[in-house]
Amino acid sequence: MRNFENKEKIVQVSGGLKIISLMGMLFWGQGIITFLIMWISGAQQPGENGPILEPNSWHFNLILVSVVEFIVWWNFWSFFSRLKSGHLFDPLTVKRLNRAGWWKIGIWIYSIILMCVENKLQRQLQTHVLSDLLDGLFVGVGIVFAAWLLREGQTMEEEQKLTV
Amino acid sequence: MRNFENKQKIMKTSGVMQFICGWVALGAFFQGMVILGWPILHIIRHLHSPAPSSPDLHSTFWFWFKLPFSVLECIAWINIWNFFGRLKAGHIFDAPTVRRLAIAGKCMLTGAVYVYIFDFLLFLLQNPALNGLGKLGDSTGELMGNLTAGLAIILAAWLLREGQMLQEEQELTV
Repeated sequence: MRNFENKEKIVQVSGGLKIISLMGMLFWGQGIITFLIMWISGAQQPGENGPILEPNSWHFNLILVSVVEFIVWWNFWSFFSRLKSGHLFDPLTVKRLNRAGWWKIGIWIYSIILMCVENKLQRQLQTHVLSDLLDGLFVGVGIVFAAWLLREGQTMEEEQKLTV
Repeated sequence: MRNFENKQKIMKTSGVMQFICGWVALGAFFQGMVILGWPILHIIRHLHSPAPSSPDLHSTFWFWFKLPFSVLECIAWINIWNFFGRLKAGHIFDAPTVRRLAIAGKCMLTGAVYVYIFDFLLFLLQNPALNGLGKLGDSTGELMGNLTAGLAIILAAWLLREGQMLQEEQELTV
C-alpha cells in the first residue's frame, strides 16, 4: 500500500504558496494600473537627477515589467492551484512552471537591455544592478530546471499507467 | 522507446548549476570567516591601543550573532551543490538526491527565521552603537523572500520524493 503522507504535505504547502502567488499577482496588478494612470496623466519620474529616459518611455518600461511579472506570478498561482488539487506530474502543471521560468528569463533579458540603454544615455557604467540581474537569471533557470524534473516524473507516470 | 532528451538536458544544465552553486557556497564560507575574524581583529587592535570607552569593540561582538546564519547558508549551498552533482551523474529520483534538497530547504528556512529574530532583537534593544543594523522593514521583506524560497525548495524536494516513490513502484512492477 502506497504512503500518501507526502502527497498530503505537498497539497497543504501548495495552498500556502498559492496565497503568496496571489499576493504577488495583486502587487504587480496594482503596479500595472498605477503606472498606466501615471503614463496617461504624464507624471514625472521622482528622483534627484531627473528622468533618465523620457517620462513616457520610462512609464512604458515599468508597465511592461509589471505585465511580465504579473504573467510570471499568474503562472505560479496556476501551478500551485494544480498542485493543491493533486495534479502533481501533469502536462499542464509542468507547462505552467516552465512558462513561469521562461517569462522570468525573458524579464532578465529585457532588464539587461534596459540597463545597457540607460548606461548609453547616461554615459556611465551602472554595475550595482548587475547582481540583482544575475539573481533573476539564476531563479529563472532554476524554475525551468524544476519544470524539466517534473517532466521526467510525468514521463515516468505515463509509463507506469501504460504498464498497469 | 523512452525519450531521454529531457534527462540529457537536466544532466547538462546540472553541470553549470553545480559550478555556480560551488562558487556561492565558497562565498558563504568566506563570509562566515569574515564574521568570525572581524571581532578577533578588533580585540587585537584594542589590546594594542586601548581606548577608555570604545563603542566599536562592543558592537563588533554582535557580528558573531550573524555567524549561525552564515553557517546555515553555507550548509544550504553545499547541499545544493551536492544535489546538482548527483543530478549531473544521472541520479534524478534518488533518496540521497531528495535528501540533499530537503536539507538545503530546511537550512534556508531556519536561516531566514534566525536572521529575522536577530534583527527584531536589535530593533527592540535600539542600541545607538548598532545604528543601522536593525532595519526591521528591510529584514521583513527579506524574510518573506527567503521563506518563500525555502518553502519552494522543500516543496520541490517533496515532489522529487513523489517521483522517487513512483520509480520504486515501477522497479517493483518490472
